[in-house]
Amino acid sequence: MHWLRFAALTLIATLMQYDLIDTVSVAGVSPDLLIIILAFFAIYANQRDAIIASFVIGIAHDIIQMPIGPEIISFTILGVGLNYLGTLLNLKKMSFQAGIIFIFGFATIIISNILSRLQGTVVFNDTPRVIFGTPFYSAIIGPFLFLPIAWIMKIKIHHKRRRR
Amino acid sequence: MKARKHHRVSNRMLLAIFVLTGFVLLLSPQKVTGKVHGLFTGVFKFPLRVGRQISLSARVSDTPGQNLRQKEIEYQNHIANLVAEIEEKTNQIEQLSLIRSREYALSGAGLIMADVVSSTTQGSKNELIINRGQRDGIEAGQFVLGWNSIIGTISQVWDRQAKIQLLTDRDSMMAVSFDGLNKQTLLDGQGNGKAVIQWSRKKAEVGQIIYAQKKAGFLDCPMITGQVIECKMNDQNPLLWDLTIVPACDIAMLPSVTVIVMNPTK
Repeated sequence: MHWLRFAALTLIATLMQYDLIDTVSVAGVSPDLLIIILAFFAIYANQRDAIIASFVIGIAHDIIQMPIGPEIISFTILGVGLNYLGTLLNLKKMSFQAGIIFIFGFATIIISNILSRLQGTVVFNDTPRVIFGTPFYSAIIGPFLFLPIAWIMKIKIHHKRRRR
Repeated sequence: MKARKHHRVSNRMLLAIFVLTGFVLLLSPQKVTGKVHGLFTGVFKFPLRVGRQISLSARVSDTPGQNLRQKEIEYQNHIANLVAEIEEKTNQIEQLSLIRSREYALSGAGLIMADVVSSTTQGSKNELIINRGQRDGIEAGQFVLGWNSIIGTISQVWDRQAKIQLLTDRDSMMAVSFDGLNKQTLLDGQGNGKAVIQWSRKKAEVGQIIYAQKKAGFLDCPMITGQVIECKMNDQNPLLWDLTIVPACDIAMLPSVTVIVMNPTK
């Protein structure tokens, strides 16, 4: 794992997610770049790297969306869960990846909203449009963004077809 | 030579440590964790500002119609403020108060222009980060203007930056009035660019103006803050009304805001 590249990628995605992502919003819904990146590392990295990557991306997500804590927990647990799922299922197909990003994004929003209640400052308040729209939008563009991410991270995601 | 021992933490242990860290941070006071957010916006001020400018330029088309619409809202807000001011003055005259008062609203206030570094207007947290802080005389509780209307109050101040809690923030509570300036009620932020006035005895019309109430040391005259977009009967008590309010300006489009500093020392 190229950690320096990972750090740069996460930082750029965090800065873009903070304010720039609204430029590509459709009907008030924007994709979540950090969820896409997390899904990438959960699918393609080994377990140890996936745990660390999930934790770091969780921190980045929490910094831009206070309070700090809920996303760290939800990203870390779900990232590891997705990584484990990757050992059981073949998640290299784009359609599977899109489905995984949607489920993962949806679960993250629900879990982090529930955890936010623990702190008592934020109440579950995302509209259904955001709860379903953000993971859906992320799922559509996610598998396509995997290609540049893989190129940056120098991870091979294409598998040549065997000749008969 | 002795072989060096490697104490490698197992994956399970690593996972447990990270999840525990998350819980510790979650249960830490927000005053402490909020500093991390301030540090982030402070360190990456430049790229965030560039990103915001790109974001704004993508949203705003420089058509004359758009600019006219903004000007129209600004003038409407200004007129609403003047109406509130006149009503306030009328009240004072009626009370025949001998207390010396200012000649006009905000006459004793310092107005500090600040650029918006970043904004969050979706979800529960509705807030802006501005490039002015303690050094510029910004203090927590001060009211903030956008397009001549109150958009929120300063909630957190750093050396060179400050955070504005918008009136639509889930944790925002602001004293407002809509049915006569003397009748005060609470405007409760709901997130996603909306706020509500719950259990109102008085029904409001759609489009009716909501005024932020004056507050000693922070605001010396009521000012427009939003308008009613929906008025529906309360689910539990049919005699009461729930009003949904939106800000009097498009906060997401604001490139800069004005902070009201009452009785500035300098």
